[in-house]
Amino acid sequence: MLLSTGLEHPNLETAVGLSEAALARGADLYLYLIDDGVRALDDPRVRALAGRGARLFVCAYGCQKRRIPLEDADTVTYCGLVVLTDLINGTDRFIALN
Amino acid sequence: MSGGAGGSGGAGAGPDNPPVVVLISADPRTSHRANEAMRIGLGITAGDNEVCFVLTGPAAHLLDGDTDDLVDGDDIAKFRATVKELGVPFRVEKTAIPDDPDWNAEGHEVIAVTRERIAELVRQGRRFLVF
Repeated sequence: MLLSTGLEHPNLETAVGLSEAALARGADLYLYLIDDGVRALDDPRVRALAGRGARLFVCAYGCQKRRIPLEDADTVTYCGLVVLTDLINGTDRFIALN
Repeated sequence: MSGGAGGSGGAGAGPDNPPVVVLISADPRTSHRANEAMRIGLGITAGDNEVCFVLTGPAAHLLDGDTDDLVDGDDIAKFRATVKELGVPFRVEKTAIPDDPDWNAEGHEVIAVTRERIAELVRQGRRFLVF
Protein backbone atom coordinates (compact mmCIF):
# COMPACT_ATOMS: atom_id res chain seq x y z
CA MET A 1 0.00 0.00 0.00
CA LEU A 2 1.20 3.44 -0.93
CA LEU A 3 0.15 6.47 1.08
CA SER A 4 1.08 9.93 -0.18
CA THR A 5 -1.25 12.14 1.84
CA GLY A 6 -0.74 13.65 5.25
CA LEU A 7 -2.30 13.37 8.67
CA GLU A 8 -5.19 15.67 7.83
CA HIS A 9 -6.40 13.62 4.86
CA PRO A 10 -9.09 10.93 5.23
CA ASN A 11 -6.83 8.54 3.32
CA LEU A 12 -5.05 7.95 6.61
CA GLU A 13 -8.13 6.35 8.13
CA THR A 14 -8.52 4.20 5.03
CA ALA A 15 -4.88 3.17 5.09
CA VAL A 16 -4.98 2.23 8.76
CA GLY A 17 -8.27 0.38 8.40
CA LEU A 18 -7.20 -1.60 5.34
CA SER A 19 -3.84 -2.36 6.88
CA GLU A 20 -5.34 -3.66 10.10
CA ALA A 21 -7.80 -5.79 8.15
CA ALA A 22 -5.06 -7.20 5.96
CA LEU A 23 -2.88 -8.08 8.92
CA ALA A 24 -5.83 -9.65 10.70
CA ARG A 25 -6.29 -11.91 7.71
CA GLY A 26 -2.66 -12.94 7.82
CA ALA A 27 -1.57 -11.02 4.74
CA ASP A 28 1.94 -9.73 4.26
CA LEU A 29 1.65 -5.98 4.30
CA TYR A 30 4.14 -3.50 2.91
CA LEU A 31 3.27 0.12 3.62
CA TYR A 32 5.19 2.77 1.73
CA LEU A 33 4.87 6.36 2.92
CA ILE A 34 5.75 8.99 0.35
CA ASP A 35 5.33 12.73 -0.22
CA ASP A 36 3.08 14.15 2.55
CA GLY A 37 2.48 10.56 3.60
CA VAL A 38 5.82 10.56 5.42
CA ARG A 39 4.12 12.58 8.13
CA ALA A 40 1.89 9.60 8.86
CA LEU A 41 4.79 8.26 10.86
CA ASP A 42 3.58 10.61 13.57
CA ASP A 43 0.38 8.61 13.87
CA PRO A 44 0.76 5.95 16.56
CA ARG A 45 -1.60 3.64 14.69
CA VAL A 46 0.81 3.58 11.77
CA ARG A 47 3.69 2.85 14.11
CA ALA A 48 1.68 0.06 15.67
CA LEU A 49 1.27 -1.64 12.28
CA ALA A 50 4.97 -2.40 12.28
CA GLY A 51 4.58 -4.09 15.64
CA ARG A 52 1.94 -6.34 14.12
CA GLY A 53 4.16 -7.49 11.30
CA ALA A 54 3.78 -4.82 8.62
CA ARG A 55 6.89 -3.69 6.80
CA LEU A 56 7.08 0.07 6.96
CA PHE A 57 8.98 1.96 4.26
CA VAL A 58 9.40 5.71 4.23
CA CYS A 59 10.58 7.88 1.35
CA ALA A 60 13.91 9.36 2.40
CA TYR A 61 13.61 12.13 -0.19
CA GLY A 62 10.21 13.12 1.16
CA CYS A 63 11.64 13.35 4.67
CA GLN A 64 14.58 15.38 3.47
CA LYS A 65 12.33 17.85 1.65
CA ARG A 66 10.26 18.32 4.77
CA ARG A 67 13.27 18.46 7.08
CA ILE A 68 12.07 15.43 8.96
CA PRO A 69 15.03 13.76 10.63
CA LEU A 70 15.60 10.09 9.86
CA GLU A 71 15.30 7.89 12.89
CA ASP A 72 17.50 5.03 13.83
CA ALA A 73 14.59 2.66 14.25
CA ASP A 74 14.39 -1.04 13.53
CA THR A 75 10.76 -0.81 12.51
CA VAL A 76 11.18 1.81 9.77
CA THR A 77 13.14 1.54 6.54
CA TYR A 78 14.04 4.76 4.77
CA CYS A 79 14.40 4.17 1.08
CA GLY A 80 13.86 5.41 -2.45
CA LEU A 81 11.78 4.64 -5.48
CA VAL A 82 13.66 1.44 -6.25
CA VAL A 83 11.95 -0.16 -3.29
CA LEU A 84 8.59 1.19 -4.39
CA THR A 85 9.19 -0.31 -7.81
CA ASP A 86 9.98 -3.65 -6.21
CA LEU A 87 6.72 -3.48 -4.29
CA ILE A 88 4.77 -2.60 -7.41
CA ASN A 89 6.31 -5.50 -9.25
CA GLY A 90 6.41 -8.04 -6.48
CA THR A 91 3.09 -7.80 -4.70
CA ASP A 92 -0.15 -9.57 -5.48
CA ARG A 93 -2.19 -6.45 -4.86
CA PHE A 94 -1.15 -2.83 -4.86
CA ILE A 95 -3.25 -0.01 -3.49
CA ALA A 96 -2.25 3.63 -3.85
CA LEU A 97 -3.96 6.19 -1.66
CA ASN A 98 -3.11 9.61 -3.07
CA MET B 1 2.08 15.70 -31.34
CA SER B 2 0.37 12.51 -32.24
CA GLY B 3 -3.36 12.40 -32.43
CA GLY B 4 -3.56 8.67 -32.39
CA ALA B 5 -4.72 6.39 -29.65
CA GLY B 6 -1.91 3.93 -30.05
CA GLY B 7 -0.36 1.49 -27.62
CA SER B 8 -1.02 1.56 -23.95
CA GLY B 9 2.45 2.27 -22.76
CA GLY B 10 5.97 2.50 -24.08
CA ALA B 11 7.59 0.43 -26.74
CA GLY B 12 7.40 -2.83 -24.89
CA ALA B 13 3.96 -2.58 -23.39
CA GLY B 14 1.36 -5.05 -24.46
CA PRO B 15 -1.05 -7.62 -23.18
CA ASP B 16 1.75 -9.61 -21.54
CA ASN B 17 3.42 -6.57 -20.07
CA PRO B 18 0.74 -4.07 -19.15
CA PRO B 19 1.96 -0.68 -18.03
CA VAL B 20 1.86 1.13 -14.75
CA VAL B 21 -0.55 3.98 -15.36
CA VAL B 22 0.35 7.29 -13.71
CA LEU B 23 -2.69 9.51 -14.05
CA ILE B 24 -2.08 13.09 -13.01
CA SER B 25 -4.79 15.69 -12.62
CA ALA B 26 -3.17 17.83 -9.92
CA ASP B 27 -2.45 21.40 -11.01
CA PRO B 28 1.30 22.08 -11.02
CA ARG B 29 0.58 25.83 -10.77
CA THR B 30 -0.86 25.37 -7.29
CA SER B 31 0.28 21.99 -5.99
CA HIS B 32 3.57 20.18 -5.67
CA ARG B 33 1.78 16.89 -6.19
CA ALA B 34 1.87 17.03 -9.99
CA ASN B 35 5.64 17.12 -9.88
CA GLU B 36 5.77 14.44 -7.21
CA ALA B 37 3.60 12.18 -9.35
CA MET B 38 5.93 12.66 -12.30
CA ARG B 39 8.94 11.96 -10.08
CA ILE B 40 7.39 8.75 -8.84
CA GLY B 41 6.45 7.67 -12.36
CA LEU B 42 9.95 8.39 -13.53
CA GLY B 43 11.39 6.29 -10.72
CA ILE B 44 9.16 3.40 -11.70
CA THR B 45 10.21 3.80 -15.33
CA ALA B 46 13.82 3.49 -14.28
CA GLY B 47 12.95 0.11 -12.82
CA ASP B 48 12.32 -1.29 -16.30
CA ASN B 49 8.59 -0.91 -16.03
CA GLU B 50 6.46 0.44 -18.81
CA VAL B 51 4.89 3.59 -17.46
CA CYS B 52 2.00 5.36 -19.13
CA PHE B 53 1.81 9.01 -18.10
CA VAL B 54 -1.64 10.50 -18.54
CA LEU B 55 -2.21 14.20 -17.89
CA THR B 56 -5.76 15.35 -17.44
CA GLY B 57 -7.20 18.80 -16.76
CA PRO B 58 -4.75 21.31 -15.30
CA ALA B 59 -1.97 18.72 -15.08
CA ALA B 60 -1.32 19.50 -18.75
CA HIS B 61 0.56 22.52 -17.43
CA LEU B 62 3.38 20.16 -16.48
CA LEU B 63 4.48 20.81 -20.06
CA ASP B 64 4.37 24.60 -19.83
CA GLY B 65 7.32 26.21 -21.54
CA ASP B 66 7.99 28.50 -18.60
CA THR B 67 8.26 26.56 -15.37
CA ASP B 68 8.85 29.61 -13.18
CA ASP B 69 5.17 29.80 -12.30
CA LEU B 70 4.95 26.11 -11.42
CA VAL B 71 5.40 24.68 -7.95
CA ASP B 72 8.81 22.98 -7.89
CA GLY B 73 9.29 24.28 -11.43
CA ASP B 74 13.01 23.49 -11.51
CA ASP B 75 12.32 19.89 -10.59
CA ILE B 76 9.57 19.67 -13.20
CA ALA B 77 11.97 20.84 -15.89
CA LYS B 78 14.54 18.29 -14.74
CA PHE B 79 12.22 15.32 -14.44
CA ARG B 80 10.35 15.89 -17.68
CA ALA B 81 13.64 16.21 -19.53
CA THR B 82 14.56 12.77 -18.24
CA VAL B 83 11.18 11.43 -19.29
CA LYS B 84 11.90 12.77 -22.76
CA GLU B 85 15.36 11.18 -22.82
CA LEU B 86 13.78 7.85 -21.98
CA GLY B 87 11.40 8.26 -24.91
CA VAL B 88 8.31 8.02 -22.77
CA PRO B 89 5.38 10.00 -24.20
CA PHE B 90 2.88 12.05 -22.27
CA ARG B 91 -0.71 11.24 -23.03
CA VAL B 92 -2.62 14.45 -22.58
CA GLU B 93 -6.36 14.90 -22.44
CA LYS B 94 -7.22 16.58 -25.73
CA THR B 95 -9.46 19.25 -24.27
CA ALA B 96 -6.91 20.15 -21.61
CA ILE B 97 -4.13 21.15 -23.96
CA PRO B 98 -3.56 24.88 -23.49
CA ASP B 99 -3.69 27.30 -26.42
CA ASP B 100 -0.45 28.92 -25.27
CA PRO B 101 2.07 28.56 -28.13
CA ASP B 102 4.79 28.16 -25.50
CA TRP B 103 3.18 24.99 -24.22
CA ASN B 104 5.45 21.97 -24.78
CA ALA B 105 8.12 24.24 -26.19
CA GLU B 106 10.66 21.51 -25.50
CA GLY B 107 8.92 19.18 -27.92
CA HIS B 108 8.09 16.29 -25.63
CA GLU B 109 6.30 13.49 -27.35
CA VAL B 110 2.64 14.17 -26.70
CA ILE B 111 -0.25 11.94 -27.59
CA ALA B 112 -3.57 13.72 -27.40
CA VAL B 113 -6.22 11.41 -26.02
CA THR B 114 -9.92 11.58 -25.40
CA ARG B 115 -11.53 10.81 -22.06
CA GLU B 116 -12.77 7.57 -23.56
CA ARG B 117 -9.24 6.62 -24.51
CA ILE B 118 -8.03 7.46 -21.01
CA ALA B 119 -10.62 5.06 -19.66
CA GLU B 120 -9.25 2.38 -21.99
CA LEU B 121 -5.69 3.06 -20.88
CA VAL B 122 -6.67 2.66 -17.27
CA ARG B 123 -8.39 -0.63 -18.04
CA GLN B 124 -5.23 -1.87 -19.72
CA GLY B 125 -2.95 -0.93 -16.82
CA ARG B 126 -1.31 -3.33 -14.38
CA ARG B 127 -0.98 -0.84 -11.54
CA PHE B 128 -2.38 2.64 -11.05
CA LEU B 129 -1.13 5.78 -9.43
CA VAL B 130 -3.67 8.57 -9.52
CA PHE B 131 -2.73 12.04 -8.37
